[in-house]
Amino acid sequence: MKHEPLFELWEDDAKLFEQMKEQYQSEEERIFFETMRYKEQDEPAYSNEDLILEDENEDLVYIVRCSEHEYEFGSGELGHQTKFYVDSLSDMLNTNLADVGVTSMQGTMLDWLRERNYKGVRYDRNLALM
Amino acid sequence: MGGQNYYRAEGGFSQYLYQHVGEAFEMNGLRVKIVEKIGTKDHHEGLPLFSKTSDVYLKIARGSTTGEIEQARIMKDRHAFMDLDWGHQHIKGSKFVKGKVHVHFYELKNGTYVKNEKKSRFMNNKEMKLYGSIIQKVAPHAKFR
Repeated sequence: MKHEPLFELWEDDAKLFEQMKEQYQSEEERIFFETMRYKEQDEPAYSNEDLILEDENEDLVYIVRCSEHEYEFGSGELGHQTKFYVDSLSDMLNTNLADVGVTSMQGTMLDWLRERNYKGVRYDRNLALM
Repeated sequence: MGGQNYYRAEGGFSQYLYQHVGEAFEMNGLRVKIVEKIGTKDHHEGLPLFSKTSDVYLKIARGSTTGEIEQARIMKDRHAFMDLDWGHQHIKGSKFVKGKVHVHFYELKNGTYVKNEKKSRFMNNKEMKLYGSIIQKVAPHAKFR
């Protein structure tokens, strides 16, 4: 029997997942996009999901998934963090980090993740399931 | 207050994942609690999806030293029914701005509650009447319109 996903993908992310299939730069990148696609369709994070925490990388960047396809991200030490909210993975990955003051690096969140080859990203911290 | 894994149909949970902070209070006939997740101080935890008896849960902004409240979750029949958010800044063209309350809804789909993002909007008059005074009490600077 064919599996029916719980959620329809947000339009921007549906396009993103299809585009990325043709241009994965590493196995880690494939795992990231395939896992995020699954999560957005079948694993809601109604109590948030920590994908990467600020104390797990040298730039103090954090990424949190909220609900199905919304994301909160920012940087800094606890109590002094920048904090932004977007409606899709696509919007987050396309955000220029220097423009919003998340890092001094001129580049997008996708560039930042690629540069570290997704090091630090975890897929087992959906707080609704912990 | 907790998660699906610990939910008991007869009431309560086999394990409680959240604890309340400070005094619970009642307003407009609703039982309201400020809550935090137990043992996950390093995480960006959200509010519980299920309740035992409370009607409204409130979330303290992460890292806040003053107990600033940034979100409310309205419960109905022990499940999240509506989220009221005002503590985060949407970017990339969204109409929702930090400090102004917007509403998200959960609805039943194939027996499962899911959040319907397409119905997100600002509060209507009925919601303001019921929940507005609660928000004003815990977050006086939040705006409704």
